[in-house]
Amino acid sequence: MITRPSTPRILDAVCEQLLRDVMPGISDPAAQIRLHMLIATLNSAANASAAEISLMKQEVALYRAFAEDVAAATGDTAVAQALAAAEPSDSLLLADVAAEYARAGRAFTAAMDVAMDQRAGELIERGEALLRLRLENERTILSGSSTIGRSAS
Amino acid sequence: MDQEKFQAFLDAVEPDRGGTVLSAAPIPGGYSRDTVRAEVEWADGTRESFVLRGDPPEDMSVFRSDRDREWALLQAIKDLDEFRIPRPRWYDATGEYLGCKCIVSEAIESTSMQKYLDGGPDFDQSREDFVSIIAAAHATPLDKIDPGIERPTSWREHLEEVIAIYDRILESLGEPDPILAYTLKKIRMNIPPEVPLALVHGDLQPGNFLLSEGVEPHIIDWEFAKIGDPRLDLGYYLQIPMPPHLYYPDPEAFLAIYRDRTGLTEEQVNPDVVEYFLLLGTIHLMEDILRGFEDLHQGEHRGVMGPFLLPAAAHFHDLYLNIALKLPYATEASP
Repeated sequence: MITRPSTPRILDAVCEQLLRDVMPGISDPAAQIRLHMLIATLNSAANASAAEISLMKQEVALYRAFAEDVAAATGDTAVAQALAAAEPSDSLLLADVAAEYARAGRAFTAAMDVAMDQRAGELIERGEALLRLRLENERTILSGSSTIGRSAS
Repeated sequence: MDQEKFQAFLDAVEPDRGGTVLSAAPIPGGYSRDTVRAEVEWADGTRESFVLRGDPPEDMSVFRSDRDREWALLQAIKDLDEFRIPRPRWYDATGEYLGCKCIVSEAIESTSMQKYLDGGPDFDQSREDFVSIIAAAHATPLDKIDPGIERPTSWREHLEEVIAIYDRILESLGEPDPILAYTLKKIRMNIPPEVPLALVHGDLQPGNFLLSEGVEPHIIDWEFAKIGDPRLDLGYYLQIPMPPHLYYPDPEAFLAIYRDRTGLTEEQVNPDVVEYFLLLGTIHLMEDILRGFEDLHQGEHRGVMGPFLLPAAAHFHDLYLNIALKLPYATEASP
């Protein structure tokens, strides 16, 4: 398998070419805006391709550990069931990791719900730290420019 | 919505005026609706400019709003004294002529307040003007608005309808969203004090205020408008990043003007409550964005906007989590 250039580098190169060679030939302002949007999307995809499997795997382990601790501390059956449905997988195929991530995310959500209901201070603190981590990883993956702020219409 | 189609539409809605469409050019940049500006010359030699707002094809759009509802609302507010809107003139309700449901309004020779702010005018005066326009819209007596316009039976029912968007997202998403689930729980723990229902714009920002010399400002883009909690508009404005932001340098000063104009109390309107309303005032956009992602995942097309909005969703997650983390733990209110 050819690994040099990497997928992020290939996508970066495509973005460069679009900006340098294609954009100057477009005179329609609406088409220029669309091309800028597509380039920003490709930039996000480049970031994602570099790290998304590793980041999801990292979160999966933390979500499972958190849900296990909440289930043990509270005896909550809904959390135990969500955890049972979130068995880890050895596959590194993106679709499999994404499915594993979703299952672990459900277990985490159920566990956080119970921790909040029971005002379990230490668990809440850990859960909130995991939410911050999730957000940080999401931003790492999608580190294109923010699109918020223009009118929605 | 091209020149030929608009000509056919004019011939149908104004058959006796002999209008000729001189031009019809798209206005780029809209996130939600397709917009065209057209110039028309009537048989008597007079000229008028119009803005056409139509629905893009479903497979080219992410944000959803209802043109029938918008047209009805524009009819209900076009003659109010409290604020002005560009006069809505015609509506192609079926898309028979213009190819899509399309509202045609008079174009205003103006500059947007956002562009005006870019020029660096007096900040305090601009803030006061901005808040005054918002407050004027919010102070519109509801009995002056056509009773046909949908209105909640109570403030609490209305709030629950907005909060229910979170439930709807969490139930319909193909994947869990722990950040939204956490935010929803904190929202329910911190129900704010009630205020009277008002006319809510739904996309309130300086870019949607049109200014022209010697004329009262006009407010445009009413597609998300409804009768509801006016603080939804204040919360919505917080996430608008274009400088100069009229709220952030001094939230207290901004809100003091708003309270003075509306008569609401400090308990009802303060920086914490307004942040809370960011969580509610923007969630309809997040719903559309996330639905667009799910559609993309299922193999459907949503145009350039579908994938482009990924960073926007991350940005909303960021805002929501950071506000929700600050909200105190309390007993959750029942739906």
